[in-house]
Amino acid sequence: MDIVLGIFVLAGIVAAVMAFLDSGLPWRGGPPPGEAGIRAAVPTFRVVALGLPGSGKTLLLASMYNELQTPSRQSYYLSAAEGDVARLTGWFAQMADTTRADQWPRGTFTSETRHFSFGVRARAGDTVHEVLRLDLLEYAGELLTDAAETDSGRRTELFDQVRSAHALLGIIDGGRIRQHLDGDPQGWTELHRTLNILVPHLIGASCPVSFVVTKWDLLAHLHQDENTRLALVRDLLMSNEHFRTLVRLHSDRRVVRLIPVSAVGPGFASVDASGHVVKNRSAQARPAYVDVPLSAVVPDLFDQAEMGLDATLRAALREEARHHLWRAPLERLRTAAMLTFQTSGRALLHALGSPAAAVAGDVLMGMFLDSRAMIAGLGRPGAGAQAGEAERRIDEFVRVRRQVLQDMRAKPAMLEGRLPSSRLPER
Amino acid sequence: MDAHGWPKTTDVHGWPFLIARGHRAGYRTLLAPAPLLAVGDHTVLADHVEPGAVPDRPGVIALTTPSGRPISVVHATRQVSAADLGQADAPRDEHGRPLHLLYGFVCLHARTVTPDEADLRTALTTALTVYRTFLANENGFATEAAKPFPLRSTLEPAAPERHRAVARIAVAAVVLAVLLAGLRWVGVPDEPSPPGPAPTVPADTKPCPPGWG
Repeated sequence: MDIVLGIFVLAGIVAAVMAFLDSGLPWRGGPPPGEAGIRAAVPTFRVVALGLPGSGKTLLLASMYNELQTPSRQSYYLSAAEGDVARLTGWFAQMADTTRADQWPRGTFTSETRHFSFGVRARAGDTVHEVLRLDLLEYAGELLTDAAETDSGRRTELFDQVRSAHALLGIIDGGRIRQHLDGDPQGWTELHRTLNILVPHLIGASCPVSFVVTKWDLLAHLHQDENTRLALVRDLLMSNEHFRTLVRLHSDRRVVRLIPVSAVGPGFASVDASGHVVKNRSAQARPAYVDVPLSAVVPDLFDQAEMGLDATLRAALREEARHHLWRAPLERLRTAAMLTFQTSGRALLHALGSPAAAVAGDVLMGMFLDSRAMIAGLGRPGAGAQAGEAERRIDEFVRVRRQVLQDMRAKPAMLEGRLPSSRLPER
Repeated sequence: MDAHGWPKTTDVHGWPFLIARGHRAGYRTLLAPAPLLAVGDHTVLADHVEPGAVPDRPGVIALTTPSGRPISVVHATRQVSAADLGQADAPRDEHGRPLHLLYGFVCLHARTVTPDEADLRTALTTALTVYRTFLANENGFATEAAKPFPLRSTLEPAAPERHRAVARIAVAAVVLAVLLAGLRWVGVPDEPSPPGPAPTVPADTKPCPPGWG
C-alpha cells in the first residue's frame, strides 16, 4: 500500500514540478507564466447528496447555485458549463415563479442522471483564479428506493460515486417531518424509511457526512426560536436507533452536521388542505442556508483528517504550516510535495482516505497547510521583489485560495454560532 | 426468429413503452416491449431515454440493450392533464409536483426511424390506459409487457452485426496506422492529451423534422 502510495505521490510531484517549470519557459508561448503550475494545483472534490424521491435534492442544487453564482456574500463564486447554467437557472426560475401556485419543477427521471462540475473561482485584481472544483451528481431518488429495476447502470454509477466521494450529504425531507407533526402517520413512516435507507450507505463512509433537512421553511411553526426548532428536529431524528448509532460512531473523530436549508426561504410556500405544498403568490424566494452544505465540504474534510491523527503528528503538521507561509512559491510547492513522504504527511494522506487524495497528495498537502495556518491566524508576506512573474502569479493564487478556504469555513461556523444544534451530537 | 424470439429481418412493428411516476410511487418503467422485458433489457429505456422540453414532440434515439441488441426508440414527454385521467384537476404527486409521462415506441433492430405522428398517438393511447391502471394500484403494479402494433413510420434496418464488426475493425486499423505513421514522423509528443470521458449513451439523439409539436 505504501509503495503504491509512494508511486502516486512521486507521479504527482513530477507532474507538479514539470508543470511549474513549463510555466516558466518564456519561449513556449500559451498561458501566462505560472498558469500551468496553478492549473496543476486545482483539485476536484466529489460530493453526493443521498436522498429519496421528492426530498428536494434538485431544488437544493438549483438554489445553492443561485446563491453562489456571484461573489456577493463571499470571495468565491461558482462557475459551470453553459448547458448546466441553463438547467440550474431554469429550475430556480420555475421554482421562484409565483404566478403558478402549484407549478414546481417535476421530479428527475433516471435518465437525467448528470454530473454538475462547478469551478470555485475568485478574483484578484483583473485575474480570475479557479481554486478548486466541486463535482455533484444529480440523479433520480428512485435509484435508492426502487428494487424493480435492479440492473440499472445508473444505480451502479451512483454507488461508484458514493464510494469515491469526498463528502456525503444525507437529505432528510422536512416535508415528512411536517407531515408527521401534523398528525399524518405517513410522515413518520416515510421519515423512518428515509433513515433506514440512508444510514446503511453512510455508516461505512470514511469521508465527512452531513445531514441536510430540506424544506426548513415548512417547519417555521414548530417554535419561534430557530435553534429550539432545530433541536426538536434533532431529537426526533435521534429517536431512530440507526441514526443515533451513526451519529455516535461518526462524531468520535469527525464533524457530523445537521444543516437546515430552504431552497425558497421563509413564507414562500405553505401546505394546503390536501397536503400539497403551494406557493404564496405575494412571496419572493429568499433561500436560507443553501450555501452551507457545499461550503463545509473542504473544511470538514481537512478537519476530519487532522482529527484522525495523534497529538504528535498534529503538532508536527501545525509547525510545518507555520514554516510553510514564509517560503517562496516554488519552495512551498516542493516542500508540500516532500512532506507527503514524511510520517506526518503520509498519515494525513491516509486520513484523507481516498486514492484520489494520494494522486493529488501534494496539492491537498499545500491546501491543508494553508488552511491550518489560516486557522492559527498566521499572516504571510507577499512574494519578494526578486520574484519572477510566474512566482508572483502563484503567490497571488495561493493568497486567493487561502481567502476562499477562509470564507468557506466561515459559513458553517456562522451557522454553528447561530444554531448550535446544527452540530451533532449536541445535548 | 432468433434464440431470444427477435425477428431476423427489420421489424415493421412498434412496441409501446411508458416510464412515469404516480402520486406516491417513484418513476419506473410501467410498460415495456415484451422481448426486452423477457431478458431484462428494458432497463436501457429508463437509463437512457431522456425527457424532451417540448410536450409531445418526438425524438429518436438509437440504443444498444445490455444484451447487445440494437434498437431505435421514438419517445415524447407529456405532462399529465386532468383530461388524460378524466378528472377535474390536474394530477400532482404527493409533493405537489406535476406528473409527466415519458412514452413512445421501440423499433427492434431498426437503426433509423422517421416517425409518423399516428404511431406516437397509438403509443400514447396504450400508455394512458396502462397509466390509469397503475394509478389505481401503485404499490401492486407490475411492469406490463407491451404488444406490438403495425407502424406507419419509415424504418431502415440496422446493419448486420457481423458487417458492422468488420467495419469497426477496418476503421480501427486505419486509425492505428495513421497514428503510428504520425508518431514516427513527428516523434513522441512531450505532453500527451488526457483521455476524454467515456460515453454513457451508446448512440446519438437526433431531432425530428419540423412540423411536430
